[in-house]
Amino acid sequence: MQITKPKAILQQALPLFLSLAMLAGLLPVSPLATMLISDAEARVAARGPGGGAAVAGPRGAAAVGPRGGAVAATPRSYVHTGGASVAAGPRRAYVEGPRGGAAYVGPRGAAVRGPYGGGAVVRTMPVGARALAIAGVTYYVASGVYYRPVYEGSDVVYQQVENPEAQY
Amino acid sequence: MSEKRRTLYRQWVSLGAVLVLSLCIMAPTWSAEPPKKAKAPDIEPKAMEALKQMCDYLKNLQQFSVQAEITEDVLLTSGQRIQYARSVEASVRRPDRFRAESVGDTDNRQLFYDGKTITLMDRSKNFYTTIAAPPELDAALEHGTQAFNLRAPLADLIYTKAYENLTAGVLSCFYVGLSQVQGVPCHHLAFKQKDIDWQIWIENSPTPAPRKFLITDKTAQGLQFTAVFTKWNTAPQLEDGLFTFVAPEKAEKIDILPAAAPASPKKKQQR
Repeated sequence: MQITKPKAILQQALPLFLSLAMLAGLLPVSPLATMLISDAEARVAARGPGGGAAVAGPRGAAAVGPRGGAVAATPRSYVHTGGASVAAGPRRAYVEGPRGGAAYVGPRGAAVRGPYGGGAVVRTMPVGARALAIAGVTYYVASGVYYRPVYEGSDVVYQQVENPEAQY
Repeated sequence: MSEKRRTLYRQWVSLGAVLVLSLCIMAPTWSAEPPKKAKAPDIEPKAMEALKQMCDYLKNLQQFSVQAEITEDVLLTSGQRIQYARSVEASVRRPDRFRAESVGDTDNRQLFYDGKTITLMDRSKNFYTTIAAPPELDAALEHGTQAFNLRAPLADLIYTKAYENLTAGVLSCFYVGLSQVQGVPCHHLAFKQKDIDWQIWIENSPTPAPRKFLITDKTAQGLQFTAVFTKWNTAPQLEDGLFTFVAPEKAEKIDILPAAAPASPKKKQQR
């Protein structure tokens, strides 16, 4: 990658620097509260009970396992490309989309939020998800995470919800 | 004396040369200025006229059915471009009925508007949702798109103020020429907007219906949307029942998320 203009260096390096600083613990970030995906950048997002998580958008994908291993891939390279910043450390990973959307995974959990303040919205169910009928309403469960089908625009998507069985 | 005259002469010559040169330099900017002003909108009236005729024609159709073959590009996360196809059939009965059905690679869905509610039905997943809607088609479509981000197939052409909507963001346009779409002679028009370019093929006849519509998204690597209108029926028998949704057995009603509400104060500021 060739960078010639100082402005370009700043634009490309600053988000990476900030996220690296965050990963190193220099910036105060609370794992589950601050990260928001404010638009539809994240096309697919899922999180597992052990802290593993994956998020995929039109420009790339990132995944972390429950033990902290992480991988981030984009169409052109690994780790960082285009307007999306991806930083992955041994215990944490952070993805920031070009429009301010972000996902965070750390040792205590993961944060991938949909634009509605509710749970993350995924377009397809994770492999192995099964349908449940609870009080006449269909839910899906995959790796201990519950989803409800819901319309987003003209499409049926799946939104993460708290365990609905716990309420009955 | 003659020496002095010569220097004067030289001065005049050089001054003249400078004047001529500066004229040469400035002349193009002078001559370029008036066309530049005229160029700013760069609208070819012939194209706008053909579009207006089509919009007026559609607006005055009290009821019609149309079939279209739609192809749409999507970008995979790998960066690869894939084209999906679907067949759409839309029926309109002004002022307050609309029905659309879309069957394709990725969807099998219906939209019903009966003058009171809009219902979306996903036939492959067997879910549906219903929202209250204003009692007039234009307002109902607008409500659906603004409050819930609905995408009604071919809505751009169904609005009674289609002409105003279509031309709102147009930076330039021109008449490309006569072209055949599935054997039908058409006016081919091209329009340019900030983020999209679009082209439309309008039947060259006393019934100027659109025959093809193509949108290129310049912000998303030139992804394209194409609709080819295969069949127009301008005198269909459209019964009330066609526009009324009856939930199929075992279909489940689910919620619909509101369009990105003023959720976070940060987003408000951006707007």
